[in-house]
Amino acid sequence: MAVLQPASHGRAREKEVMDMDRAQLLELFKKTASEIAEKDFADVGEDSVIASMGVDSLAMLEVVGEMERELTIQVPDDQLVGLETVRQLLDMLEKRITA
Amino acid sequence: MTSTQAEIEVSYDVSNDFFRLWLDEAMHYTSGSYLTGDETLEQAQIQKAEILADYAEVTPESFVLDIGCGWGSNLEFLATRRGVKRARGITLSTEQCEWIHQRGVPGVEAVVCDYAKHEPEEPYDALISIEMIDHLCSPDQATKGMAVELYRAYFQKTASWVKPGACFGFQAILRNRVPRSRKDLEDLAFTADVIFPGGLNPRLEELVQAVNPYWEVLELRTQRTSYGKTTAEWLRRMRLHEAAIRETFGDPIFDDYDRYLSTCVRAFERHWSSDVQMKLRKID
Ligand SMILES: C[S@@+](CC[C@H](N)C(=O)[O-])C[C@H]1O[C@@H](n2cnc3c(N)ncnc32)[C@H](O)[C@@H]1O
Repeated sequence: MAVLQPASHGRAREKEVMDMDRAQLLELFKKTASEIAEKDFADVGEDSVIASMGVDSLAMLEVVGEMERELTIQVPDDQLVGLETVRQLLDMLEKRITA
Repeated sequence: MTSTQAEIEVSYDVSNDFFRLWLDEAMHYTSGSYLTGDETLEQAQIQKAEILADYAEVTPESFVLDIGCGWGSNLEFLATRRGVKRARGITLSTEQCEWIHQRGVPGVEAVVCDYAKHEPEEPYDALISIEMIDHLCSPDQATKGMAVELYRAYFQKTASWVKPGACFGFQAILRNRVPRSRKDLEDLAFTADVIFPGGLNPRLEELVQAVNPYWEVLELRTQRTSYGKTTAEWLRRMRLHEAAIRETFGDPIFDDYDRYLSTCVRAFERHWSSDVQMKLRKID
């Protein structure tokens, strides 16, 4: 199952990932975050503030790590700074997917 | 300064006898430089000291300052192997300073002094500093975006101590990629809070920014795998003395250092941390 492997250099990103639309990305975030934080995030939207979702900074890094694996991307750490809303996080992930 | 004197004493004053059990004989508490990979820890430490002395362009006549000199391993190297007649070290730890005086190596002098308050009576010919800068910015200060300014204040101050064109052999432990698992993050946080309170490893790009406009980077080499080997060897040697350490220093000391050193080995293996050596020349 390719999606479980860490992103490897030189391997073409899965077409499903490249074709993922914004709504699917939001769903993936909600699913990943609720598994890690063990909370229900049905009401979470792009304007939600991550800190007020009860996701602490360690859990946030775990969420990013899990999404990196799913999306076969690697996020540079400097891009993790100053992410407050879900929208900012998804914007950043989208940039990495198309990079 | 962010690691206070009390915090420094947590890190380095556990007991000199404890560190003697697992560091090399000269007590370098920083990464050695493995060049072939087959060297002993002792050889790797000497190679590290050689690289930095060469970077600093040390001669027997140089008046050299070692900033954050630990137990004086590098000062002793300079005096005994490079024939340096005036090698001075500053440290925040009183135990380390007493240790150096007891060794009584001719030409070596150590002072307990915060670098920020140091005012030399005459300019130095050469500077060396080995993994001391990680005490200058706390995690909180880094979050507030103060890291580069704090490091820059250090590079400005150190540049004011030297003769025109003087060189600085500089070594720092680095942080790189943040792990993505809770257990790994907790192990790293443990190292920061329990073993090195108040400390934080700089990022390479912060250092490159901060040396400007005081120092020019002439050479730069990283040695992540050398630090992996160094910490793995410390851990191996410490475990050989497990029973004695538990008896003399107590279970928490053994357990804490076992966790700390094991985390270090993983940190270098997985690119969470690295180590850099730079040859800097003062911009006049
Ligand atoms: C990791 S130890 C390295 C010691 C030594 N350079 C070596 O290679 O073994 C860091 C050293 O920096 C010193 N140090 C930390 N902050 C300092 C400060 N503000 N001024 C002077 N020394 C400081 C500590 O006392 C300690 O000796």
